[in-house]
Amino acid sequence: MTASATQSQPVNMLTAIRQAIDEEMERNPEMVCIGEDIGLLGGAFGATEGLQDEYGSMRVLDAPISEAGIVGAAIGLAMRGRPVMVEMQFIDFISCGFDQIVNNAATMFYRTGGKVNLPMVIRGPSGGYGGGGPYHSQQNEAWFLHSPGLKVVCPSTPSDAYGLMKAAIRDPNPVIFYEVKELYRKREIEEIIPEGHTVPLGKASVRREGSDCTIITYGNPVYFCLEAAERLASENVQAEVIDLRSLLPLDEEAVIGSIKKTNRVLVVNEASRTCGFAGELIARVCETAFEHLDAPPMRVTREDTPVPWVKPLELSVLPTTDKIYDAALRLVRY
Amino acid sequence: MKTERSATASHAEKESGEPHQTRPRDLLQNADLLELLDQLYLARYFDVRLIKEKRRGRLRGTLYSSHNQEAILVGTLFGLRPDDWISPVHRDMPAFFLKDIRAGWDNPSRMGMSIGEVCAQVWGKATAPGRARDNWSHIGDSSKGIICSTSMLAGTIPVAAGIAYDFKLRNQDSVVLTYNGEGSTAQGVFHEAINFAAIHKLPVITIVENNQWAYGTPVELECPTKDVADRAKGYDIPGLIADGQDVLDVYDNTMWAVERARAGKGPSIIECKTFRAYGHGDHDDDRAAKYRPEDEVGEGRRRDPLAVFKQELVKRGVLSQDDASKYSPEFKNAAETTDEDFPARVVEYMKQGVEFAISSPLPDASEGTMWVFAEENR
Amino acid sequence: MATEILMPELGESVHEGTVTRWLKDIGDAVKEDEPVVEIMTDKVNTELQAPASGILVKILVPEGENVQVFQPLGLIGSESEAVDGGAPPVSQTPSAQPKTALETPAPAASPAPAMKAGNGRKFYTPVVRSIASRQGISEAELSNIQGSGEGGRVTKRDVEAFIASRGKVQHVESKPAAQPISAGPDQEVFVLTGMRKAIAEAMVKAHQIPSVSTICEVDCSRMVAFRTANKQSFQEMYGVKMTYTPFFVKAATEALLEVPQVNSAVMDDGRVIQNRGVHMGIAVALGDGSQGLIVPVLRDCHKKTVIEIAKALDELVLKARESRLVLDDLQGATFSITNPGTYGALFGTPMIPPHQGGILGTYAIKDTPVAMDGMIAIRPIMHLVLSYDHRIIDGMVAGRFLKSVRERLESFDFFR
Repeated sequence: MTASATQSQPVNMLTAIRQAIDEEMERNPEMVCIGEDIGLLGGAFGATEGLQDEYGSMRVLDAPISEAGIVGAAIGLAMRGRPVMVEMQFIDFISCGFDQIVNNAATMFYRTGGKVNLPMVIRGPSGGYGGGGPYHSQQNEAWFLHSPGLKVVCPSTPSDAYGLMKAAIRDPNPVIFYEVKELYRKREIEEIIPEGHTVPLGKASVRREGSDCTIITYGNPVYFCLEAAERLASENVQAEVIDLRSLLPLDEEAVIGSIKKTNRVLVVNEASRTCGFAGELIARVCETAFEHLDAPPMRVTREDTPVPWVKPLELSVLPTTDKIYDAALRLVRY
Repeated sequence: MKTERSATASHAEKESGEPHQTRPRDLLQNADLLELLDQLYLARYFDVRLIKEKRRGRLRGTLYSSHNQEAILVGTLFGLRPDDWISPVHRDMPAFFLKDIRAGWDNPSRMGMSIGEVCAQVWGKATAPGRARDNWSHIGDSSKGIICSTSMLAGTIPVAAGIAYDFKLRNQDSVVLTYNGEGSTAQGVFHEAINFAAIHKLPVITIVENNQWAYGTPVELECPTKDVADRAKGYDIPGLIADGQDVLDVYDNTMWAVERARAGKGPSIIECKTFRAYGHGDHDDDRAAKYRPEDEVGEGRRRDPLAVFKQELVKRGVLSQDDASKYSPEFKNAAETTDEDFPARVVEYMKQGVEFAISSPLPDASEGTMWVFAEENR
Repeated sequence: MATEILMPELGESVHEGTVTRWLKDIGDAVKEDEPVVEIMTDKVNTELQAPASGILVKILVPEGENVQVFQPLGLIGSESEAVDGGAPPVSQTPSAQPKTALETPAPAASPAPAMKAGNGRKFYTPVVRSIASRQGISEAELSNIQGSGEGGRVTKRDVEAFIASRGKVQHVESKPAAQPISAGPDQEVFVLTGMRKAIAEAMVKAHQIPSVSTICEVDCSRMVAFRTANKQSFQEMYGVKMTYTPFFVKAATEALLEVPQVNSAVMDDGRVIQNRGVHMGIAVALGDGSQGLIVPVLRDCHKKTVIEIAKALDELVLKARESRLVLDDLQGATFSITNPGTYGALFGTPMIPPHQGGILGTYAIKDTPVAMDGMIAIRPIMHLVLSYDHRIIDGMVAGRFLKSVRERLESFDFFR
């Protein structure tokens, strides 16, 4: 695929991601991709389709099922100055490489007194709503947000995914990149990506402006929040919806700025509740904007359960438009 | 202790077609042999000095003594090139300054750490390679080809594989030596990394320092095969066994595996059989820890690597009997050893490192929150 | 239809008062503008006039009880209304309650909110508290705001609406919650009330003015000599004691006319008022000072001679000490003078009363060695301190004003 493909016609998120990786591979001949089934097959979802043909089996490497081994090898490659893209076939599997990520990659720059940095992206399909069950539905960003030294992003649109992927690959630090697989091929969000489009890490996007409350979210729930906001508008409640896109670094200015305006905040995330990112965000809001609050901050998250398989069970534990709408009403009526 | 070549070792010979006609050690000059001896003295003296400093309450952290295992470090590092990489772990402190030390002990541009840097690390000073952010053996320096290890043993082997994969991408014939105890060969990542390295025939040589004990667990409870080297069978790579008390045997096996790796034939495992002189760390019982019988310790330390090598040098006529007994730290505990047991060159070198460490400042508290994220590639 | 007798706002930052005496009984006929009830506030004792003619049909706040500003004190109705105690009054001003979707009742499932905070104080959200503190809204005022939030909770919008409608009539529905008081074994705890409380609130407001103080020395030789020489005859001629204050007032008035920037003030809405006339606030300590401090206004100083100032001042101070000040005596100062010199203070930094551009402090006149023409002389020297609102007055302007005052006092030309 040529660079112009994304500029001439609307593309889905998967194509945008593939295109970004492709362009970065072309831009930097040192870059290496490594992961399970990413070469011959082109990835379980096709995020690396065609890349091995283009860049060869040495740079687009089919790795054995060894997440720890893969991440460790990526650390070695990055230590030698190569940007590395690691694909986790499902982000759920990242736990198998956990030690290498949190104890080795995350701490390397710190432990070496600022001498050895690791330019690597660990990306993978995440999130529920697809009937994937406990091991194909996780949104486990909190593990990594809790490990200093890692950056964490989770875009919700094709252009954000494209721009953030490029920024993440060029970043000198390890970045964990959550790709919401339910959004990979979602037609309604396809868009044309302008040439040279970039999205810096650490910049949130206001997806809907409003004055009565702020809904902060990221990933798939962005769309549920926007739906809920439409319904709230018919109740004469104007909700502002902020898509964080990047969780670490966090655009605290955008978050606090909006709360100073609306004085009410609801945080929605797909991950489970206890010690989740919503809790952290709310703590920060209370620390830095307490005197602006006109209601206690609220959150809608997954229940503290694994993600169950069949639809009614799955939706019973995950955030939905209805749950967000109800919570937002409680918030504005407080 | 099994020091003879096992069936696994013959794997290497099978591949090369015949037993070594000329062994790497045969190419060493007398000067090289004497340098090897000095390096053994240096490694031992470094350990002895640190044990004494620690006992005097001058050092923090845990000391994992390399006493009685020095031949492995000296023998594996002696034949490496400056562009090769290593990943030492907890019991390998001397490796940081032994790397590329043949370029000159005081050569500031050699591809290894200076004795001052290593001592500064032990003393926890700002002049340490990682500015004292992690303790003792957890230091690395990409500019000198040293991987910074973590406490999760075997965790550096996949990193070594990644570096080796980079060499392959660059058509560069450098190699990576990784160090591990026999205990960490039970780690999943050990196998993931060797598996990956074997698939891609990467120049990774894994030195297994089999000192019979993984902290408080004997090798029989860590490894089901007769020799740890047998683990290589599953990956169809050479599993060599070296006499860890014999620096020349370690050297021969290492050079064989290194040349093979440089030729693109892939990784090897070298099991160096040795014996742990003390407890696991200095917090553990000094000698006869409760889990080890006293007589076993005595037997294990019967073949002190310094004694073994000096005997060989006397046999070869490189060293007179008088010269051999001029310095005799062998068979002694650290506490029983004095500076007179070591050549002045060794004592002076270490002194220089200790003085540098002591005169170096502690890192400023303001550094505590620095360098979590990089602004740019280094 | 009955008419409410409402408690007026008797001075800035006065939020409540006490009914001291009803001048009419229930059933008495009253004429419009006839005094009907006597009120005591932190600052004044005053009579309120009947807002309409009719019969006093109901007393809502009996004697001795507190009343919030804008709360009805009683009802004036017709003969017939006297029988049934008065028909419900029609409020004169529309309710200030915001009409938004947020008033929709909460879903039944949501728990009832706790209206009390743990410390017994009424609960307000952080943003409401922070706005109240910034805007100087008291606990009592807050408690009078009708909340549109769940369970009547006061929201940010409610408090904003309250601010917008301040000065308009608000209905008081509940009394402020009592402050919790607990004293240690060797302590005594009391609550600020009355004038002390009003002063405290005024001082907080004054403190919010970004102020700077500039000091100069005045050679008072001529003034002191004049007073010594004419003290006796002055009193005989004009019937008032000659103090220095009229001279200070006169000098300041002339300087204010010369440097009008100092005779201006920033108002609550951020706009600036430029005063053409000079109405001088004079700080008067009551009793030995323990009864507080009041700042009555000496009006139209720019039209008065120094003698007239002296007379008016004498009368004003007397009124203040005898608690005869009326509301008008306390409002509308454009600038103030305080004279801590009377108790020997060398110098200080006075606080600017809200809605004024500055305050002049006059301090102790003290024989001081000064260098004059290369010689040391003993002169009666006074420190003159100007505190000014730095938002509208710069140092240069302040300096000009101070210099003008100083020169007038030194040359002492008031009787030319």
